[in-house]
Amino acid sequence: MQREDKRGIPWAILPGAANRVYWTYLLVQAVIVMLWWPKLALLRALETHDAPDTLPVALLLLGIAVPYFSLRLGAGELEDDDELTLLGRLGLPDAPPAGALVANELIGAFCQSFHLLVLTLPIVLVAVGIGGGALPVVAACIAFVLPLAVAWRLFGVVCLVRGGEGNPVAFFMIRASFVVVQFALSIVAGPVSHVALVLHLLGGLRLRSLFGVPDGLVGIVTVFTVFHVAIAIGLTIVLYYQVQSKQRGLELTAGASSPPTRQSRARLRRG
Amino acid sequence: MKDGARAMSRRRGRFPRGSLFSALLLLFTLTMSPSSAARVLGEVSLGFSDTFRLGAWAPLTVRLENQGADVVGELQVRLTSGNALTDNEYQTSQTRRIELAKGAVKRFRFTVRIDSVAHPLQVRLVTGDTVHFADDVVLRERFTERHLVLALSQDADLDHLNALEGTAPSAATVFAPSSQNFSATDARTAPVVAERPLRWRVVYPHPSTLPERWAGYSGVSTVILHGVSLKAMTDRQFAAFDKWLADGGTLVVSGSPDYTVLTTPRLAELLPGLPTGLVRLTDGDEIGRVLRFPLRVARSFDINRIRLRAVGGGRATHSIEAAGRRRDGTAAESAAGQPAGQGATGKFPLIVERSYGRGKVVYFAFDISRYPFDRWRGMEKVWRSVLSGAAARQSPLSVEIGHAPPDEPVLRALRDPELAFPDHPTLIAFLVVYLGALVAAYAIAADARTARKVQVALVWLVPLGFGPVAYFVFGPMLFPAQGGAIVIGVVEPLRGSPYAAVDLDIAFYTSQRDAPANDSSRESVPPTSESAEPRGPRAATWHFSGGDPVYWPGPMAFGVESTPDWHAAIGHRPAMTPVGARGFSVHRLRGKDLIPFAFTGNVEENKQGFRVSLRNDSGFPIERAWLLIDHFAYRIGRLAPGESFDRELSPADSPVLLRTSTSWWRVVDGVDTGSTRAAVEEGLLGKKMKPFYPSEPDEAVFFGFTEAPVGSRRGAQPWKPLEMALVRAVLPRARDLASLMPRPEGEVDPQSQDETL
Repeated sequence: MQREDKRGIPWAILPGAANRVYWTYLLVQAVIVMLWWPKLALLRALETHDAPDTLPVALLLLGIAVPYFSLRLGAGELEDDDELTLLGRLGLPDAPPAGALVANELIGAFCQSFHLLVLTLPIVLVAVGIGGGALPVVAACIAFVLPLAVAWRLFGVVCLVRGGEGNPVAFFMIRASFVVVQFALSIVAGPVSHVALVLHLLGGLRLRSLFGVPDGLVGIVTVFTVFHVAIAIGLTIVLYYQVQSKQRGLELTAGASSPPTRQSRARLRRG
Repeated sequence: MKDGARAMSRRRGRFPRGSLFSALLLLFTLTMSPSSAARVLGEVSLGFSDTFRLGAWAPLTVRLENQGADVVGELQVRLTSGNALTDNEYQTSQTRRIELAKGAVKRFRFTVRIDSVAHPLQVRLVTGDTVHFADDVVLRERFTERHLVLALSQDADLDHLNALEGTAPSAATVFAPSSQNFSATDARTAPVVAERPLRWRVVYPHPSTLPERWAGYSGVSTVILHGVSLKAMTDRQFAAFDKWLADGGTLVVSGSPDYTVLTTPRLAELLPGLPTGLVRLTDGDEIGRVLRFPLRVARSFDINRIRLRAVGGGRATHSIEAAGRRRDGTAAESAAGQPAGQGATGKFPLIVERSYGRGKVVYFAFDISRYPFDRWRGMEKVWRSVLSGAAARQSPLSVEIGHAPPDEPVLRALRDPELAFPDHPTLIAFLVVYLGALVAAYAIAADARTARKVQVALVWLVPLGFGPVAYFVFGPMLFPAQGGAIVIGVVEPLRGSPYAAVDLDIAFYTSQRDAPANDSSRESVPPTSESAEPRGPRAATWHFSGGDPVYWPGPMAFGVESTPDWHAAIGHRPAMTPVGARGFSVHRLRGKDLIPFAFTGNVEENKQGFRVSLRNDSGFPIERAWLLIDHFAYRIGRLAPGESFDRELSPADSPVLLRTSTSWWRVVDGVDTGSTRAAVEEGLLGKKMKPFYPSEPDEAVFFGFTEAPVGSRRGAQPWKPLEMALVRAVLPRARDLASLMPRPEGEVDPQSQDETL
């Protein structure tokens, strides 16, 4: 089957394997929100200070599902058969320069993460009224997901370019790194962990950090955003050099006999 | 030499650097020296003559003298109450923002309820972290469990009352139904008190230390006035005293040769009769006979000649018939005002009394500290009787901290369907529709014939449409309860006085979450009286207005044991805040107040029905009013402030038959059936009117609804309070016997004759 280079905003949001998979994610989130919906009478909940956990749970799901899905997307696990990953696009005869490729990946990452966020919003917003969280806090918890998802998406792409498509080591590594990083951040750097922040802002848990805790919501938003934007910029730079390196390698391979052969493209996709 | 002088002058002319430093140092030293810092001296006096009754509210006066720089700070009074053994110990604190100019001496008054002497009462004057004045008042040394008797006198010695022992009559005896006062009300609502020994403690407070809030008198059973009037009291002090008296206090006034003090305006209005002169008696036999203890006298003595008040219900409980002479030599005057004739037998009131609300004013015609009554043992019996009655009449300020009965009106309000989480079916329906719509949108978008822009629009339209719907449906529409206050009161006019007793049941809640624990800028800070809104979860503080109530922690439901610590802000913006206010919580308070509320009425039963006269001078509109007579409720309707209701009620008015004491739903109309207000009104009637159903044969019960006299201060807080009060008044029901008696044969009923004509 001829694979197509689907780039740009429509590609990010329109039907495809990825969105079908994400629909199942939505279904799971909806079921979990239903399960966590308060069962106590309000008066009893008020007297026992037993605030419903629905909103924190919905936000935690949002903060896990969207970045994890983005990570898998970046790692090229969810492409349709007719879609090309970044690694695939590298090998095209008319492949754009590394900068354009990375920029396109970045825009795609942002748009798709935003799209996933929009799809999940109604499921989160049902819990806002009963959750009792202040609107700025809830808005911040939702907004945190965007830079987080972009960063994980870029991490996935970096893993893809480094490990190649269908690499079982990369498959294992991206999952392990997701779990480890989420857990580790919440322990040692709470202000940059979405899980820790949701539990702190809505669950009253004290933030843990080896590097100090910012004061106030504005401080938290600033630290979180700066950290993840910095991570995303770092990953973009790494990606750029990876892509450039790959393209150079491809050119060197193709230097003797132009154009690149089917075998060389296949080698490229495998990394 | 010249050079030396020039150098010297140069040195003098120049401002040396060291001098500048010295000047700055001096300025700094002066600024920081103790003489310019605040130096506040203070004195704390608790109760009356440093004596308070355990379990009752007591006045606390803090006298501060500033001998230093101006001070702006907060005067804090902190008290630990409850019982640590039952894990129900809690703290209450009161704060008042004060300003003390240099050299100022000010006196600040608080009212505190002390039920435990385990911990000292703490008084602090602080500005930020600086403590200007601190005093810990040891309570063990100052409390008494006896009933307090305040003696306001310049020279009377009533210490012998400390040795007196009495027995409290049972509630049924004390609160005998009477058409003369509202004591019938108390008989049904007051708990039955078993007989218990009574002791008294006489204190002699200075008038300037008397409370300015009615609750300050709650430990006092009797005030004895001897040779002094009430004009020394400030207006606030007198208002507090007047309210306490109406709420079950007892005022005993001693006669005096200088009876002009008894005719001063404040006192004269309270007395059951006015002294009009003196009567000289030469023997005490008649007094001994009347008071049932022999009185032998060696010389003549004077008693006040009393003219009973025409209005106000003054009556003589003990009168003597004796030959008395007026001090001016003319004949004595009988109680009826008729001259008894010189040397003739006259009837002289010896002890007169009147009811004032639930309270009583007793006026002795004789001087209690003069011959022969100062050493007469017969007075013991008189005092025992008067003080026992006063102790039993004293309005109990019982503090019930525990579990709420499930039928409480406040709980009904809190169980309002509007105060419930949206149910599961609604949530499931929404999620199914949303996910279904999303699938449909993707299915349409997947069609290759669909334009790319339409595809994008379709896929985004669904979540962007459902997002706001989710927020509004599951937020403001189905769960609008962000926070609110429920204030339910029972207003009971105290007949014969311009006041009403108000019992308050308050709940305020917030469904907002706690502020983040690390976030110091949003910590819950108790507000001071003048401060802005507290930082912390919304609705955790209840700002109130109206009245001068006292509060205590209310009962909780669902087995919640803990009683919160409370902080009261006193001043222009009074507020109650649970200390360490948490989000997502409900707080309960009970309160009591005495408010000006003039409401009068009476019912006369005649052959046609009932002649009802009501007058509402309370200043509050009374809505949906009814009159309960036997098993029937007659509709009165609305009584606007200043409005009277004067008409005949008869079966033709279609009274509502209340078959049982739970049939109050039949009179709850005028509000949306099924609404929270209707449910609360029905619950309120069921709970508060049950003891009065059916009405006694000699009374009728008026009831209606009005606004809560103490309510939430209208402000920026985003809540919709439910505040209401039930007005309940037991009215005397007289019978027009002439019209009710069957007429002798042959006599024609004039009315029927008119009809015939």
